[in-house]
Amino acid sequence: MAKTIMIIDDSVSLRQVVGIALAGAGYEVIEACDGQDALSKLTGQKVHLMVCDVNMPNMDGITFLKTVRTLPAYKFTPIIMLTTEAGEEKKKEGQAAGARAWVVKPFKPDQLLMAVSKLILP
Amino acid sequence: MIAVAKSIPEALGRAGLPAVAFLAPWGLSGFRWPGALAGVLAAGCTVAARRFATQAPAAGAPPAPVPEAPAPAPGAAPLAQVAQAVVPVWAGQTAEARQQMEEAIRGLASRFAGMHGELRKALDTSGLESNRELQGIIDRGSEALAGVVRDLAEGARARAVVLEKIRGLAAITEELRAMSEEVASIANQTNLLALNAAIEAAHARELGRGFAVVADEVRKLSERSGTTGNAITTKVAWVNQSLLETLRETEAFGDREAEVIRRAEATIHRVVEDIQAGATDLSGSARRFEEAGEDLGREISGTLVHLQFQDRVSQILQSVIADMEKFAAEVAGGGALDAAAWLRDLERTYTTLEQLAVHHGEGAGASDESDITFF
Repeated sequence: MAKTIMIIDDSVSLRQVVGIALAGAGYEVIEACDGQDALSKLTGQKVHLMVCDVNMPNMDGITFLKTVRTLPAYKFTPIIMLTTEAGEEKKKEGQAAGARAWVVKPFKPDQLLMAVSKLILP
Repeated sequence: MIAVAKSIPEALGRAGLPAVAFLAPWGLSGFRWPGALAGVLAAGCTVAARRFATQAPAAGAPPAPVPEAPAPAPGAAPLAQVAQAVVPVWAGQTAEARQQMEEAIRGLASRFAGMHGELRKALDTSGLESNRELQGIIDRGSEALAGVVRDLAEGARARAVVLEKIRGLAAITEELRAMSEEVASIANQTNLLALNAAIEAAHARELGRGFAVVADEVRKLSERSGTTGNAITTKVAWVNQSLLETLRETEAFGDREAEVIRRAEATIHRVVEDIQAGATDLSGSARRFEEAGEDLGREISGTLVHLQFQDRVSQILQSVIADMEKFAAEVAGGGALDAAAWLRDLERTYTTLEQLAVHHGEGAGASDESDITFF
């Protein structure tokens, strides 16, 4: 049974790029265009890991992280932040909000897959 | 976020470079704000323009729509009027460039996604595993055909045993023929003996009459024995002839069968060798195809890294647009502007290291290395 990964990014092309990498490795992929869209798609859905951008309209990645950690079903789901933000302060903010990894774009598909396989729950 | 790199040099050429020419004189003429800010905007635009300068505009691409400039506020200062009129145009051009870049990259990413999927399907269906399976089929077929040849040879050996037995029967019929001739010879001698006995009985006249009857009966028996002996000889000769013919035909069939088995063995060997050679070629082709597919997969993977430039460029342009809009609003408001404070505020909006580097006048290029931190 393939594991399901949700990609949350307001850039369609970035979602496609991440989707190619993950689908190529055999993961099922769900896309969301921002934090709000992601929250609406999480209901009634089993997601094993999330890859989330930081700067997005409507609900940014850090706010989404904080919100999703209040949901019992997703309290411990691994979330990888995939962002252009390289500053240490933002990273610390992400860590405090419950991110498990911080990947600065551009990412290499192999490295993202390595991070996913390291964090995804069996 | 949004689209096409092709019009960025054009857009930045139209919007960014005039910014330098336009703002510099105003900065030198004694206003408190714009010298440094103009430098920042111009630097951002010219760096971005330089990065895309090698990309020619696509033939037939529709020109980026120029947004309608708002009417300057009545009574506003000349700089404010110009800023209100021009900055929205710059922002609109830059936003259009972002949109076109996003659309083009989305299209490219879709194409690459399709190629990647097709490549994976092709590799899955013609992989080395299929060839290994084919090799297994060939091995099993070869073994089955060798079994058929072994069975044929076993049948030939069984027929050789029958042939030996037929040869043995032919020898026995020869003995029977000799025995039947012996019976005929005994019958002849008995007949002669009966004839002599009849002559002797005639010499004895009345006393020999009974003996003559016995002699006559013996002669009749010898005649019947002779007839039976002759019939046995004829039958044995016929059986012998039949056996000899069967022997000859069986021997000839055995020779033909041995030749058929030899030819079948040679044919099977040749066919298996041909299939084996074909399978080896196929396996080599599949391996080369698989290697080429892996190379292509790596190329696509590398391309996916480069396609992400759009996201970074888009964020940089978004930051520039927001600052342009802020600039227009501030100038229209007519308040005093503090260049140092403006730069500090601008710096806080950056998300990428390249923006910081450009802001501080350092050379920057987009990194293609992933930076991963695990918590």
